[in-house]
Amino acid sequence: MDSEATPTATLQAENLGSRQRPPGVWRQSWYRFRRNRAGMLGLTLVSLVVLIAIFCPLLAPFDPSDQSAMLRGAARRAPDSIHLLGTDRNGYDVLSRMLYGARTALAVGLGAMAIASLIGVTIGGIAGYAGGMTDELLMRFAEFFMVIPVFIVILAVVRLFGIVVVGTWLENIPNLNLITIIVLLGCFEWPPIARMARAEFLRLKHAEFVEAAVCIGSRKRDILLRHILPNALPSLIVLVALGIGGAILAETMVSFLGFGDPKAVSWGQSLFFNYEALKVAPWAVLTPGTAIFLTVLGFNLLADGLTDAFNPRLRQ
Amino acid sequence: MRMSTKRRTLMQAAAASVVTAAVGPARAAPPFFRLYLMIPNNQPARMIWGTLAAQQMSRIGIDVVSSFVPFTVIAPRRSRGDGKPHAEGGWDAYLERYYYNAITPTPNALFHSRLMPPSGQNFYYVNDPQIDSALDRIAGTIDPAQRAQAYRDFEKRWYDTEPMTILFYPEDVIAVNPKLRGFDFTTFNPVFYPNPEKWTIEGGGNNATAAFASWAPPSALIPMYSIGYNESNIFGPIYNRLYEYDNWENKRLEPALATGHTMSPDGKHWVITLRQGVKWHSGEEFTAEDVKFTWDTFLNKAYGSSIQATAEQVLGGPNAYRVTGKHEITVDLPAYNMLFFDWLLGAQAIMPKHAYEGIRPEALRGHVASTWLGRYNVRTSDGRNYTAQGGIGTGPWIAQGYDPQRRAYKFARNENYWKPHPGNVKTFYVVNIQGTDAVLSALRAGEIDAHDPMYDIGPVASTIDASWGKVQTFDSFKWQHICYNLRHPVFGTGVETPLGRQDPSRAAEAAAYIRKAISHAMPREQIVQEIAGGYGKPGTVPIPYSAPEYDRDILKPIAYDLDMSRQYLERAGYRY
Repeated sequence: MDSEATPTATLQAENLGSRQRPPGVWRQSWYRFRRNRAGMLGLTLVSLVVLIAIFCPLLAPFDPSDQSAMLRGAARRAPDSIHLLGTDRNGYDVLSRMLYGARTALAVGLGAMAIASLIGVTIGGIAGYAGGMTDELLMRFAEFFMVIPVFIVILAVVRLFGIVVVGTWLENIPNLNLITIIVLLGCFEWPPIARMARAEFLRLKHAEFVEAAVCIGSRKRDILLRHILPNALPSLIVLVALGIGGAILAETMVSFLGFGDPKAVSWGQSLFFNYEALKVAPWAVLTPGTAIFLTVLGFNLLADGLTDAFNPRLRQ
Repeated sequence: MRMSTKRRTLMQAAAASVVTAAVGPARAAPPFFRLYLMIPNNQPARMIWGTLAAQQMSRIGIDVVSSFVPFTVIAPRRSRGDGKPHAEGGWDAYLERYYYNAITPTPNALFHSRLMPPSGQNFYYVNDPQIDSALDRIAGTIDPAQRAQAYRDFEKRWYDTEPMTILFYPEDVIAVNPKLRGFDFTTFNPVFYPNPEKWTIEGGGNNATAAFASWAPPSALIPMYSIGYNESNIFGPIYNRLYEYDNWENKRLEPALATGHTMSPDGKHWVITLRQGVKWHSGEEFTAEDVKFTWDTFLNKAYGSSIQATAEQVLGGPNAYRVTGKHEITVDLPAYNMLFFDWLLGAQAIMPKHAYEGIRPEALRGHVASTWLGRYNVRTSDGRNYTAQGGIGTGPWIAQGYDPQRRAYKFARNENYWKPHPGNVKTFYVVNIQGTDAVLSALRAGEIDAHDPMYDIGPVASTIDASWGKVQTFDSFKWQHICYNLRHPVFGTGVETPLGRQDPSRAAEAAAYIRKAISHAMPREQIVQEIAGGYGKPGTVPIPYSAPEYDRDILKPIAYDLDMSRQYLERAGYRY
């Protein structure tokens, strides 16, 4: 009897325990996020952009670099049954460029912020956890990066890189200019993340659960990666979501200045080529403009919603 | 079941897009060769046809690496003078708008093999004995019939070998203040250039102010250093030439600082009489010494002028001319050269000896006379001091320096000008405005009265309302082209083409096939209609379409035909 009764009792106790355990921070946040209309709108917009980026080869009626409309005298053509959003000055199908532009926008936003997050969390985390002189040095280093005019650096490096890579293997990398812009944006957008990571690590390293982990002899790496970092993530995710919108805008501005990647399908480049024809072919400007607006709005609303979800007291 | 099919389709689509993103589109056959195409990033319309040109080249098997760059990146590469390709610090190909320095076409000043950079302007390394021969005859023939034949020979040879791809001849489209009268008198200096002394602003009274928009800030305002729009717009109103074009409609040279000349039958001996009573803005009298000083300066390599080689080609050297009277200069040319009259006398501004002689050659480009930033004193022969705020000329307008408040170069009317001012403008500004929409906004707001043709407003001309802008068109005497480094081993000399490697004696022929292949891949008519707004004509050779020298019998439009392009590449030894 005893041998049968013991497992049953244990199972009951476990079931009881699982029912009583409060939901985790992620579940709670999702619960709050779902009630935030602006946040949900942002999530919807971002999801839409992601879906478009994935399925654009199926959705786009034309190849994004197809200039055949120009060859048959149909550039700057108003929307019709063939070109649903018209054609632009280059003879490109506006709808196809808009759809493919989502890929570039996401690649820039996600790529730049992935790099920025990696650098920012590493430097901020070390600064916050180590403290002392290390903290001072790393934070001054971060401030140094904050005062560098990133746009000028991007324009200069893109131009310089365009000269240096000629005749080297680097030249065969597709969309090298775009990759350069992504890397540069990532390398200059990390300081805010580092500052936030430092603050979180500084706060969390004195938390009870961290001290408990120290007491049971956990290794430093485990403490940092398994205990502190997951708890710091909610605040960092908000910053990253905001940064994605910023990075997309930054690439758009670089392309709008005529320094973008000539081979990339970029909304900023579409604006650059067509803004002077605003009165003649407004669809060619309004479409990429709207795409930029909705994408950046989506990421900003998402970030706003995440802020409310992860830090409900802030709103109160 | 239906849901399952949908889901499967979606999954397949997702997988397909992931694979496409990772691997890229299906790989085509490897390209025949690589060509670096530099597209200047200062003119969106040109960037559009540059992008189209690159794509068309890709369609016939050329690996085009195109880049949008400022012209300041292109200029040093092409001026090196060593003919190296792009990968070695030189250049392969770029897009350009070009024109001659005189209204009579002077291809001999651009494409002769004697005029290679850095001191000459044959930046493309055109080196063709037949072209040289035709150019020598164009330059050295007095007989109009023989010269016409020489032009035909030049055009025929160019048409057959196409050293550059002439895309189209643009028309200049300019919107002006509807109250502005007299803009038609705009003329050639040697670029299209306004004559504000002939402008009348309706309702402006006798003391009107006018403003003209110029795209970019100038590089140097001494005429021999640059003759582009950005500079000519500003130094043009200050200086005079010995002969000047009367207006854009007639395009005839008429005496200006010269009153006339005599020429020997062989065209070598010239006596030029100069206008008396003309004063420099400083009050000093204009004499033949000023003409001699100007030509000495052109020829002196220490001044670093890009027209040095051409001046030397025409004059031979400083011994060719001498002052034979206070207002007379005698010239003995080594050989007759059409550039002497059409270019040297008709397009080169005369500089003041008393003001510029004391400036060291290497300092002239950075002097206030060239920058207009600041003031400097000039001492005249009668002992007076004159404070100048820019260049000193004999022209209808006196430089008033750069006005930082208006971000503009300011001019005051020269009341002692040797010709009457028919207009009512007394103060004139040249304002730097960048961008087509910006210049049209400025016109609409009444901030400017006209602009230079660099803005290419043709495609948006239909949006200009008659209440604030009057659209005027002029034949530009220019062309838009793709130019090639003709020392490039593939499309220049042809030694690296399959045919050139197989038979080196046919290398140049193979290179010409490649250039013709590219030429036939260019949809010129569509470029004119779709990008230039219909303002232009498809191009063939570097002779202005509306010039009398343009031979319509020889120069049939070059067909847009990709099959023909591929056939030409096959003739060069490439196999599809």
